[in-house]
Amino acid sequence: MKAQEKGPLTTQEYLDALAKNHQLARKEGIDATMDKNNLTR
Amino acid sequence: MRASVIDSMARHSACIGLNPDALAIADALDKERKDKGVRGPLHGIPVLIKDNIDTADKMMTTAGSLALWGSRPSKDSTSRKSCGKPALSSRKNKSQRMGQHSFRPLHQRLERPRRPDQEPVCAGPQPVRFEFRLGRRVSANLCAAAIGTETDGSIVCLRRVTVGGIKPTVGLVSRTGIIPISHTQDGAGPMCRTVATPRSSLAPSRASTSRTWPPPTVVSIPTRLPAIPESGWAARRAHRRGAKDVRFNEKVDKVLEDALDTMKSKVRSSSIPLQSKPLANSGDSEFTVLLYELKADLNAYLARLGPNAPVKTLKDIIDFNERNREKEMPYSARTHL
Repeated sequence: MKAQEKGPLTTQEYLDALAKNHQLARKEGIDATMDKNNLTR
Repeated sequence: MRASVIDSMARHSACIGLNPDALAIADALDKERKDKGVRGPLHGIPVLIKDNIDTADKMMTTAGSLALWGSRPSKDSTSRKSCGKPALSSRKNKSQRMGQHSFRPLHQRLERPRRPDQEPVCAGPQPVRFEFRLGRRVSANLCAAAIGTETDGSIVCLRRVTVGGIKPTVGLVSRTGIIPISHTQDGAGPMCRTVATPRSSLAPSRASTSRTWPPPTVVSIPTRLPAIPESGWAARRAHRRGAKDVRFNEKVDKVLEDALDTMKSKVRSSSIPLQSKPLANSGDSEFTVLLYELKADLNAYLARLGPNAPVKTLKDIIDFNERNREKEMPYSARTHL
């Protein structure tokens, strides 16, 4: 029921959550770890 | 030999469906191997496939859901097509039941058998992921490899059953034709008894196209996976727990230390140890994204099945589950759909 209640993928709540995921997983996650360890991207 | 493998599968009820044409396909592929040569590393190798990966043959693809009972997709999934159709005689194992289970109360999970003479497998207090079932078949040497899917750790946690698995970077392997949960998190990947084997299994399954779902932004796709030796798993396990703190006995310690040395020689030294910052507070946004994408992606998948699909939309599945609550949800409440 939770998923069925959700709107399309253009909904602002979805876009905000997706942006947060990317910020945490990419910029503050893998990218930060790669930089910290001097690894080539 | 393949016949005996298939016999073993059937005898142990190790999978929920066997491709009745498997032996004929295998014979044809053997002949092709002799006449025309080898297509790739998986040519003619029997592989176990999770029940959420479309196979255009006599087997159903249901994700373990009664709502999709009888669904026989007309097209192979891209993943199976590129990795497997010409090369594999396939069988299926249980998959996640479509969405009626929460990820969190894993202890509530019980698997519903497809046949009345099969006992349900009680998960008990420990988390059971369906890849574990695939992994155990691999671990027991019932098949050379299995193809599973992962949204949130299903493949990579297989070290528990001493199987090596790879979840490819999201987008590296196409999800077209795979019953989805979330297109920014789902991925299909190989599971084998060693780490070296899934590397060779992964190579042919690469396909970045995704017809049904928007492909995610992938910053870079590795052209080559790092060569981690088979002994690397032991080292990795030791590394995760802090190699210095792990002491079992002389012989095991020696194996672990050798494995660590091997890893250090194979991987750039600066990358060991790698520690990434824990992803604080990612749970809420991750779950929000998952719910939105589950609806959109599942509806897109069902639309792709065409007019003969037993259900057309997520709403249809919810209604089906409500009407068949006794059969479909005997042990746990639905929380995702």
